Amino acid sequence: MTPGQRGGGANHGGAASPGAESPAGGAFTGKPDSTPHSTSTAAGKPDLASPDGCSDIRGAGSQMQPDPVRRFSYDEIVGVVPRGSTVLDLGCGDGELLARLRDERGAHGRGVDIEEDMIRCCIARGISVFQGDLDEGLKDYPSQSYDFVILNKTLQVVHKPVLLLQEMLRVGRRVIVSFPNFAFILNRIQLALMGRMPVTRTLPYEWYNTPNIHLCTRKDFLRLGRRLGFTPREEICLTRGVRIPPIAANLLAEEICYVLDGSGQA
Amino acid sequence: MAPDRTRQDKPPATSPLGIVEPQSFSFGAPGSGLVLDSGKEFGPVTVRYETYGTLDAERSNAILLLHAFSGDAHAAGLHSSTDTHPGWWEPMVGPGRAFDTNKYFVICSNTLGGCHGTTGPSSIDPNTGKPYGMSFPVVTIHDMVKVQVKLLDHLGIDRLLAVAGGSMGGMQALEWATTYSHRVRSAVVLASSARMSAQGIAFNAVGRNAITGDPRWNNGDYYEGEPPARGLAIARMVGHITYLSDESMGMKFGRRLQERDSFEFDMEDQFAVESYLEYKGGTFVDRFDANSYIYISRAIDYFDLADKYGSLDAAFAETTTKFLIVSFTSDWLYPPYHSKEIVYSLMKNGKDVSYTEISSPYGHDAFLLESHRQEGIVDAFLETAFQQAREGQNGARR
Repeated sequence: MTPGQRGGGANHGGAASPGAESPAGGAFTGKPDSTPHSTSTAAGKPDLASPDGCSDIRGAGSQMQPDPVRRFSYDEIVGVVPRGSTVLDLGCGDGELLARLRDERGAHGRGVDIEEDMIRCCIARGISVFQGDLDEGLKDYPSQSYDFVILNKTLQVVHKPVLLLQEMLRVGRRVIVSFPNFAFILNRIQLALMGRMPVTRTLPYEWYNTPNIHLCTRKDFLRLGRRLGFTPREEICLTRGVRIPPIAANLLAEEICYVLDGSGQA
Repeated sequence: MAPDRTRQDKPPATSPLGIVEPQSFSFGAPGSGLVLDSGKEFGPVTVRYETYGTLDAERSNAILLLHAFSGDAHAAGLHSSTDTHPGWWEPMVGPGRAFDTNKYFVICSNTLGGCHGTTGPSSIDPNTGKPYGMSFPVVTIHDMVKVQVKLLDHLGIDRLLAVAGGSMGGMQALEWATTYSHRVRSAVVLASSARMSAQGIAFNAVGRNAITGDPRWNNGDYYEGEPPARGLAIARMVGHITYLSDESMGMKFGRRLQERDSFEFDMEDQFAVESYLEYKGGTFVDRFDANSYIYISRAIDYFDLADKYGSLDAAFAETTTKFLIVSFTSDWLYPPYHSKEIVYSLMKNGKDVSYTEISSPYGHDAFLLESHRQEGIVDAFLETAFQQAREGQNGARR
């Protein structure tokens, strides 16, 4: 952030629409749930989902909006994580998922995010958080040091998704990774019939401002899994936030969440 | 900032804390009271400190602020109604600020070896009736912390809610959180390091050489005559360069000339940055003791938690303190990787640590300048620690 932007946030102030400019330089900042309120410190009432969250922080004008899309997979992820697990959430945003895991599952969580405002929100929730860039990898995290490593709708914005996946499989005994399925029927219709890049609830960006640089389909991901040598131990398919049976999932699932076994490799 | 403007008389400053009274506490007797890291026994020691806010009945809301190299016990508030400057951390300390004096009891003391009221080389040696000068013992960051521990004992505070400091103050916070972890619930470490880098030591060495190379230094025995002002000013100039950054110097001064619009190619051509350094060096000698500069810079150079405990991981193995580590992108004296090293080690040990790397052009000075950026983060961190402390106490009562 340049000095001129400090405290100003005019570029982002109140910009909660998907058409807002994506933040410059953020490697994985631009997932649908965090871009609109990225560096904003503009005036405006924080509209926060959690009573123990950022709203308590003096001066935080973060335009954090309740975002149903972001929470699609939270219930499912909370359901997958056993009580007392240690969890590393990559691209944790404001720490809502980690707070739920702590409160509902007694999990010991830690988050990683790239944005200063998100760091403050996490700290306000009592979540340990590390401000860092996932594109730098996880080299300083020992192998198998967490029960779960989570990457929630962030895979598509990192520069080296394969490297990050491998690192997650090394660091976590289990990995949870969720992503928007690009082959979802509504995306196909927009592309095939309307001849336009899809703009949907899970992919709310125009082609020129999307942070999503590595979109894939369910099939693509499974193919990569075969190459990397992992088979999902659990597949959760979601459409409009509701779990659907994995029938013709590549066509009917809007979003997919996989639970993978760690590679156990040092 | 144009030096000639800063030289003008400033109007009196204001502070929500109003006028604060410095206090003193002494312990020990000649040759005893404090066992130093060197093995030497030293005393007596006087500690200058200030407090802001009120200690609660459970004595659970105390926060110790730890100043940097040239700081002092005067963290906030004013010393008189005509004071032109509030304390060094005024934007962070006060009612409703990050170190909220409505909630917390905030303490700041001058460090051992300093020259602002706590015993240092310019203090009188009771054995000789003269200033210690270079007969003052070598002190370390841990020795400074030992004096702070004595102060807390004196104030009747068993466990601090937090220690907080930047740069050398951050080193003290780390020392607290490792060696005296049971007495600190949380630690805020800004722009600091678990060990001084070779580069940092090198700059300190230049500063010390500037002082000792000044004939007026006279082996540290100058208190009855003229102090080594030129040497100390040069030391401060070097220090100031390390506190800024290429970008901040470019923004602040560029290639501007101080008094002229164009070069006249004589020795009077002076760049704005030169003038600034001269000014900073010149004002420093009025408020700092050259021998203190030597002792404190050496204490910083000695600091190495990894060496002390065998490794950084070992240093943090037993800590129960919760950490907030903050670095600044353009800080090349205590670069972010120094902070990350601490964070990764704490994470490896499964400790409670949060880390933020604030994007700032102001170099090392950012930890004093970017208050509005730190405020929300520090405030949130302290609030959580405060809540946990209260829950802990309630739990213990149950």
